[in-house]
Amino acid sequence: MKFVKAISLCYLILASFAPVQFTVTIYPSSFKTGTVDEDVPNPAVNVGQLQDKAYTYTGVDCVVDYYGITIDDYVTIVVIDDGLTELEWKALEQNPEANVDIIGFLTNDTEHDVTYITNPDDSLLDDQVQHGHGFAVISVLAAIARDLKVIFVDYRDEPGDDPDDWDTFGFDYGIYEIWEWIDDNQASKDIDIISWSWVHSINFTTPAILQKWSSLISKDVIMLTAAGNFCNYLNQLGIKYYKYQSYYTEWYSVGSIDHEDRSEPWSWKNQKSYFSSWYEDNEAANQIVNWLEPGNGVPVLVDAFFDQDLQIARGEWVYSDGTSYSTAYLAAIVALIITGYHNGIGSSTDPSLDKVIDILQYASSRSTFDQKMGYGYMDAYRAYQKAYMEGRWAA
Amino acid sequence: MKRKLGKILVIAIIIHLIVFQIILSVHGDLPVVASRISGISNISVIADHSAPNDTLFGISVEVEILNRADENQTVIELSDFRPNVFINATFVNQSLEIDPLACAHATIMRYSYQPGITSEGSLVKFYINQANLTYLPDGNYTLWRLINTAYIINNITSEELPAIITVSSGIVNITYIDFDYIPTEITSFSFIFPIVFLSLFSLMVSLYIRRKSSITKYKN
Repeated sequence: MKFVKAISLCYLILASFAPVQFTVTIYPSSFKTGTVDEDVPNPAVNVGQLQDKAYTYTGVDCVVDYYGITIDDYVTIVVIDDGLTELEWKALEQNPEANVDIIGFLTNDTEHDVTYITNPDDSLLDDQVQHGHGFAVISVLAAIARDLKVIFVDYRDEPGDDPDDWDTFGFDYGIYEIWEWIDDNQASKDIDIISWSWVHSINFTTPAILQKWSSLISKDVIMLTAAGNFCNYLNQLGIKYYKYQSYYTEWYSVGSIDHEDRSEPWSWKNQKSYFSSWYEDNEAANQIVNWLEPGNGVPVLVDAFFDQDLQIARGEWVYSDGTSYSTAYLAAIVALIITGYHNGIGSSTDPSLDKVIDILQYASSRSTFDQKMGYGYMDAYRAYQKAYMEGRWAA
Repeated sequence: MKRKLGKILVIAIIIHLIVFQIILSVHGDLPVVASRISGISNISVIADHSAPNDTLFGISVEVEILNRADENQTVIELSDFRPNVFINATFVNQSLEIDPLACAHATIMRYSYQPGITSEGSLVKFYINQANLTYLPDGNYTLWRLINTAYIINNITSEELPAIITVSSGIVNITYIDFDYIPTEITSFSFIFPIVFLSLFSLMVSLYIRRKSSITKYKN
């Protein structure tokens, strides 16, 4: 008995001397480990046939792989991001698993003139310094919204104090000229969706920018933005709230939902991803997280290269995480919705923005709003079916 | 009764140790990774016509990241912050406010730091809500380099050592904080095996003593 007491006492003493780090991890043995930052195995199947759990979770595999739905010629998305190199542009169009059609690259050149490039061989792209994030984001689009037309809007960034790291061309974020061009070209380029996977700490709008956003909405353009990764209310970090542009009523904010159980890093199926931020609990002003889509361990393209054997540009598929990818994921589903509507109506007549929102609500996993979950994630198959029927009824 | 309780206690400890992996890591007194502002230069006004009622400033900052461990440390950050140096300020003129320019793309980032010190630079931009300023208003400005923002999932400890700019009557003083650059031995103690062994041993001993005392009673 004395031995028992002695051992128990030792245990309690040692446990009570709180060390710097005391970690207790409890995961059921069924949890998988790893995933993020690792290569996607068998991308021909997991991405090309959409068999990865990140896709089967929402049913996009049913729409795209099983029924063979690709985006028609009358859906165009604008993606605002860091930059694209010539190789990344071509990889998005040529890689064997999933492709989009990049029809244009909009930038502010070194003379501060708005420039629209349609050829990836343009020499201006040789000087692209900041890039990679846009490549990854568009690859998420490509996997789901095959052959989607993409217009890339290029940011200019000075990420450090070394001028060698600075972009020599591109738009400063929030600048009016971006919105003026998009609004002026919305009809001729048939722009339906805008996707922006960046967050900002500054209320950067001007009355002129707000007027352009209002004009785009009146033309039934849906504007989607990332909710942010700071895992808190209003996406706060330090003294700043990185809540723009989610906080603007014109934008629909997309957070991340976990599509599988995983211990490393944390993933709890059907729960909001640990990093996904949220906004208000009052829907009236649309300063909310609207929906969630998979963003915790989704396949993305990185490291574009030219495959000498296949004579194509391509990239490496790896798993990554962030609400950036959730935004692209939902944008791709919206593209499927618009295509479904076109297929139903039998023409290129677009659904109204209100109709698109109704279809998204119809196919949402939640019927009631939750401050952190929004209306949940999209059942892509239900969304496509509904869009098709809405088109049929409108015909 | 006491023996029964003792056995239950030992069994409970064994179950606790087997079911719950307990890792006690001793890092000494210092976090594994640390950031500090090592230099501040080129405090300047930036021409900006988009905010006519404000003045835009820029400060070039040199940063050091210290990895006190003997092996590479991977630090997970919640975004690619631009810039990754933050600033806050308290002004003598309390009507003034600072509004740092910052953005981030919404992708989780993973950075690997070699043992020792990694150097980098950053450019911090911020507005102060008064037009046509030519130098920093009087007050205290605190700058720090974010690190380990995904601390809730990271398995490392960290600290951010700020620098403080004090401006008084236009005179600028800068205070830097040094690392306590002592390589820290990371020691992980696994108490599972010795405690399990000792617990089982004590259980066996107590059973043996009980059996022996029973035999002695019987003989008596």
